[in-house]
Amino acid sequence: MGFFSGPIHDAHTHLGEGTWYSLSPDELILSMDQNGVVGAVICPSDRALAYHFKEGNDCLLDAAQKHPGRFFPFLTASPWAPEEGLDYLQKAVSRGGVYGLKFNTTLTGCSISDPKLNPFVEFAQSHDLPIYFHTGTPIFSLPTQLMQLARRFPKVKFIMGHLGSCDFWMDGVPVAAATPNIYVETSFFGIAPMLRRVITEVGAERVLFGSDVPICSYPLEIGKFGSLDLDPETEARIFGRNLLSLLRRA
Amino acid sequence: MIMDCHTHIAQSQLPNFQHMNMEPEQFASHLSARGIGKALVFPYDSLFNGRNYSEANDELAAFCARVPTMLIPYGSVNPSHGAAALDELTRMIQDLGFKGIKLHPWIQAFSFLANEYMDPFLQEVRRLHVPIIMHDGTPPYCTPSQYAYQAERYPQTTFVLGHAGLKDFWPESMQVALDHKNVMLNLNATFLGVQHIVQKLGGDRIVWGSDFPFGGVEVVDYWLGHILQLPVAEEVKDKILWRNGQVLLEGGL
Repeated sequence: MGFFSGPIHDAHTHLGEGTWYSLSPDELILSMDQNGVVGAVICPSDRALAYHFKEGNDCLLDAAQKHPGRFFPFLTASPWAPEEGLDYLQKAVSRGGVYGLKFNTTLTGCSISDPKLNPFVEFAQSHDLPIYFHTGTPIFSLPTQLMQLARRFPKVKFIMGHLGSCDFWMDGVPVAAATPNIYVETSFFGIAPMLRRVITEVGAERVLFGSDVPICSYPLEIGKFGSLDLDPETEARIFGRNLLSLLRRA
Repeated sequence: MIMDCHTHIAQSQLPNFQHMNMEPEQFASHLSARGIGKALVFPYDSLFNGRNYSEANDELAAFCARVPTMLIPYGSVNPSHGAAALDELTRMIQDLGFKGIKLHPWIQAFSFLANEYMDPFLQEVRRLHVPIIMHDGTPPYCTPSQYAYQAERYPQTTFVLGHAGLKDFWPESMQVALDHKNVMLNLNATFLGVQHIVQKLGGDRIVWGSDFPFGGVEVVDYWLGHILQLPVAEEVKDKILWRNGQVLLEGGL
């Protein structure tokens, strides 16, 4: 902690009421300020990713309005109700302030590569939005399932959340290396030799620092990069520049 | 003082784990530089490739004997190997003086619920009065509730969930520890999970371990940070990092 002095942009946080946490926009801002984080992708909490979709999305859009420039909402929807979800997303996108989509397919009960997600991926493609997928949890959230989807939609940019951890940590790097439209996000991925490999084999331009706050801790998730002795250019990319260009904010 | 309740022998011949290799003295110095005074050391390659467990346990004994004040061997066998597993289990505890057992059902490819071999195995474990630490947090063979099944049937044996459920199973691991007083948790959950578990169990039956040298020396700092940054009294941290682990050197709870 403290080794990187530039501004940090965080590719993954959760906001709102979850099963095991409650995080308000003001609390997240405080935590970001204490850790040098100037901007963060915000995602819905577990209950909103699983079922209370509108509640979760509304919470993100409200938070972003109250804290201009600090939050980048990634909205979610039910793969089982595409019309309802697309209707909400279409209206939200036309009002502005949507930066991407987020799915936790373990919580919604279908594989990342399930065709039920196709309408949302097509929507993302037509609005040039990246899609973040939680990965690492069998049976529905595997890096290789993301690879199948990414091959189906080569123009869409996907983010592999948690780099496949826990026990799909061996899959994350080979999948990303073979799939140019997959970016990787690093929260709860603590295996230093693999972090080094992801930078050399996938390329620093596709690695995104993410904290997963409030599930993980800013000091620990930032600090784990300290011992990698990365050059300043690589650090600046991973800690924000890549994310900003992905969000077209560069 | 800190006790690391989850490390592996730093000698791997597997092509994708070459980063782990180092001499025992260097292994110990990485740990002692972080305030760790004792470490439970488990095998590594034998868990994956099922090769001769006696040979692997002998290697583990030799590795730990180079720094005997600090490194404490926990050997492994594969319970599905039947009589051969029982012989080696008895040998490593009684002849080699190992203090406990490490199992990793998914990479060793056996089911913790297959009573045809688990009953003879767990009966011998009970007779030898040593703890078992298991990898947990990942399906299909290593989920907390699967361990709870045997913890209920063998209440005199101490079962340590080696990762407290990791990212996805920490609520289940917490519930298993609440339900079964012979279960301990080695904390490698998310920071959120660590906070809930420590609060719910009041700091009891919780130990700490790093998985070093898997993941490099950086994992020690990463996982140690999960305890050091906890917003709890120093006394609770001392229990987790040192005092609670002492029972694992004396046969368990």
